Amino acid sequence: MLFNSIDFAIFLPIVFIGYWFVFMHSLKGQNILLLVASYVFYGWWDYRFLALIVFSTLVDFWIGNYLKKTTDTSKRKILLYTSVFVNIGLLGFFKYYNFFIDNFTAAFSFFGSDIQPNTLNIILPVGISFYTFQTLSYTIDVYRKKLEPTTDFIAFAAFVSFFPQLVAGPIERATHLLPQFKKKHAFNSKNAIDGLQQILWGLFKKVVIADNCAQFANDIFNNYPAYSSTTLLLGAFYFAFQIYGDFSGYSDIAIGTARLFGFDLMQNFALPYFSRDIAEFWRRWHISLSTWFRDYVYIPLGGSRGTKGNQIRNVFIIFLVSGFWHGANWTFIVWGFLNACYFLPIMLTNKNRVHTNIVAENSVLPSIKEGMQMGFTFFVTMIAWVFFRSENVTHAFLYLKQMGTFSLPFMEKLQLERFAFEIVPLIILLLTIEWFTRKKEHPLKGTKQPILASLILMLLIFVFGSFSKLQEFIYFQF
Amino acid sequence: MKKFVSHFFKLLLLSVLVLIALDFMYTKIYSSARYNRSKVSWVKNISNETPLDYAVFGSSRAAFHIIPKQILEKTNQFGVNLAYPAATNLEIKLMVKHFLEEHEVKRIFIQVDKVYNKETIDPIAITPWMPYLRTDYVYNEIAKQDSLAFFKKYLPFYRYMLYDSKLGFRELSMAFIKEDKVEENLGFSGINGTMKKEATFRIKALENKKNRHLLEILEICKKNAIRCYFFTAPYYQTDFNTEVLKENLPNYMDFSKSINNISMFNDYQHLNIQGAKAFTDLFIGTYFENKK
Repeated sequence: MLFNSIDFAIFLPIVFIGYWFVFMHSLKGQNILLLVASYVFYGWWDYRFLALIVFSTLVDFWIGNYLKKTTDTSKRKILLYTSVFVNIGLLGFFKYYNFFIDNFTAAFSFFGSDIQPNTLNIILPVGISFYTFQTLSYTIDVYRKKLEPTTDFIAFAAFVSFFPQLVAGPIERATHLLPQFKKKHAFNSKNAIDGLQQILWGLFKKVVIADNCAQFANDIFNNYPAYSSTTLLLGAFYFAFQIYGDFSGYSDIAIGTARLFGFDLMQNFALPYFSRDIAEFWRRWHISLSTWFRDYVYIPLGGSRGTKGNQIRNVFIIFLVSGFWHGANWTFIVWGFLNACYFLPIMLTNKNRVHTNIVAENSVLPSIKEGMQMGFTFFVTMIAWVFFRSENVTHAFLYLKQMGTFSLPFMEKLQLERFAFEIVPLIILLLTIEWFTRKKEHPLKGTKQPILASLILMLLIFVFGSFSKLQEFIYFQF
Repeated sequence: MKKFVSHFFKLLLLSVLVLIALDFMYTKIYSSARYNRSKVSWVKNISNETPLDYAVFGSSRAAFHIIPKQILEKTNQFGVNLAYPAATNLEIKLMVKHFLEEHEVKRIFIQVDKVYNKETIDPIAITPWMPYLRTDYVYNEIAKQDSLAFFKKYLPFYRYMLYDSKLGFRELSMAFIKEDKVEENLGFSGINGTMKKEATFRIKALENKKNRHLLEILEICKKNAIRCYFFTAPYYQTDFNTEVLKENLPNYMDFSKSINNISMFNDYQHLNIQGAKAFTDLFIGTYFENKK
């Protein structure tokens, strides 16, 4: 079920009414409702994959409780490894099996040994990368004794499958989200209205910015040999805003939806395109994943401590794993590698925490230096997105090569009537709104005229939204 | 909760009002003769001062091929070309009905070809009819085949959202920005390209049966004392067999193999401007008395 579909527009009010009007006096009832709703939401794509979530939930619930009972270190380790093995194993099988088989075959062929690949026709279950990381965080935190394991299976199952963030995050930590299933929520109108506004803001980013950009980014990337260099630059620009609007829009809808039920989800995007360097960008982009890797991979590896060699190794591991998490394709690995290369000089010169505050915190406009820093960071990020978007690494290199030829005509896509000339002004509108509300979690938060602001946003969605070609959220495929 | 429910319903109500206003505005602009962006809206703009001698209907294979100005110059017969790209039999029937609501005409010409058997809606050609969805005969035809027709008709602005790439803001703004050349050329629009590669194109054989939309057009013509002619425009080197058309359509003329010069084609089924001029001459010779 897509957030931007009629199905969801019917589904959400039904769950909302059930949650606040039917089961308002029973926490258990509310959790059961959320669990059933989440399974319905997920099963809407393919009910068969529900078995995977249920299996993952059962395994981690059991392991969590067993970890509480035993103090034996080796037994505890075995339990932890079991959880990691099961969760990463499922992920590995569904997401990476064919990739590894294909690459082993290619490697053997390179050395002259011809083997017949035994690839499988595997469908990737939606959201598997998200919920496996979420359940893993539970087991690891219980193992580390940072979290008491729950004995309430319904609450745990609802935590694993909570529908607003089930298929594309934010990837919640058990320490933050699980306790929220154990306490009774009182309805708070202010929060709910805020949630509604954040949903609208997310829809605007998805339907107006991302889906419009998608049509032209797709066309340019799919036919790049036919276009001039400036059009390819425009294609990369469109994709940068497609992926931002798509993913941050999804996160806003997820956070807003959760807020309607009294839940607080972590912020996943904090205006990443206003970053002054790549380190700041990674503190603002897909925060729930970056911090997950930081806490469960980077810090256990030693983080920024130890020798320079270890630091460099850790940076590359974290970015390459992060790239690989996005998909079984070398393009994502190169994208991760490129970001590691961007990040490394900043870290080695100890400048990775220079920009921890929001840009131009005490002024209306950025300084020239800040403007140039933001422009440069956006540009290098955009170059990396070319790898992220391309079908394969060769295409990405050819795309970039052609982009560097400075051929004419100048941005022919912008000159054709059929192509949306309104997209660029809409992107400028998005950036302007975000700039002037950059200290808020989302632009409509705390606005004095909530109805008017929401209405204007809805008008923009109705008039400029892309509805004829409903685009799935990009991160569903991860 | 009261505060939230009140906020939600206020927003819902205002949104519905906005949607109604948008629907009204878009429909008004698209169906207004002043801003015509399609031949469907242009029909209302055609002057009734000069009586029409003929009208041409069909797809791009008529829109790109028949030049009414050339016919006017050579025969003094005043007519319009109401064919438009992708239109098939159902859309042609709608256009005939739409046209006869506003105008009188002595004879009509309908281009038929490889899509003769098609009776279903064409998803592209139906788009310009969306602003007219609340007209009974348009709705009745669409509702027979489109399960969403009811929602498109009654949910305000839904039809414009669903067809945003063809009827959205961009297209609407073009009604004000872009100069309209349909009227100037009396409905003819030419293409400039030249076909380069020689080949023989295969066309699937037609099924020998009547087409209900074309039968209905014949009935309409009979009722209004209009002479109806069917023809097939030129193809470049095809194996198209027109026997089914000859058998099922009255006053049928086959021009499918009438032009063989590759330089007159843009592609195997469309003539370029030079080809259109040559074909219009052929058309004049067949159907019009030279009055000049």
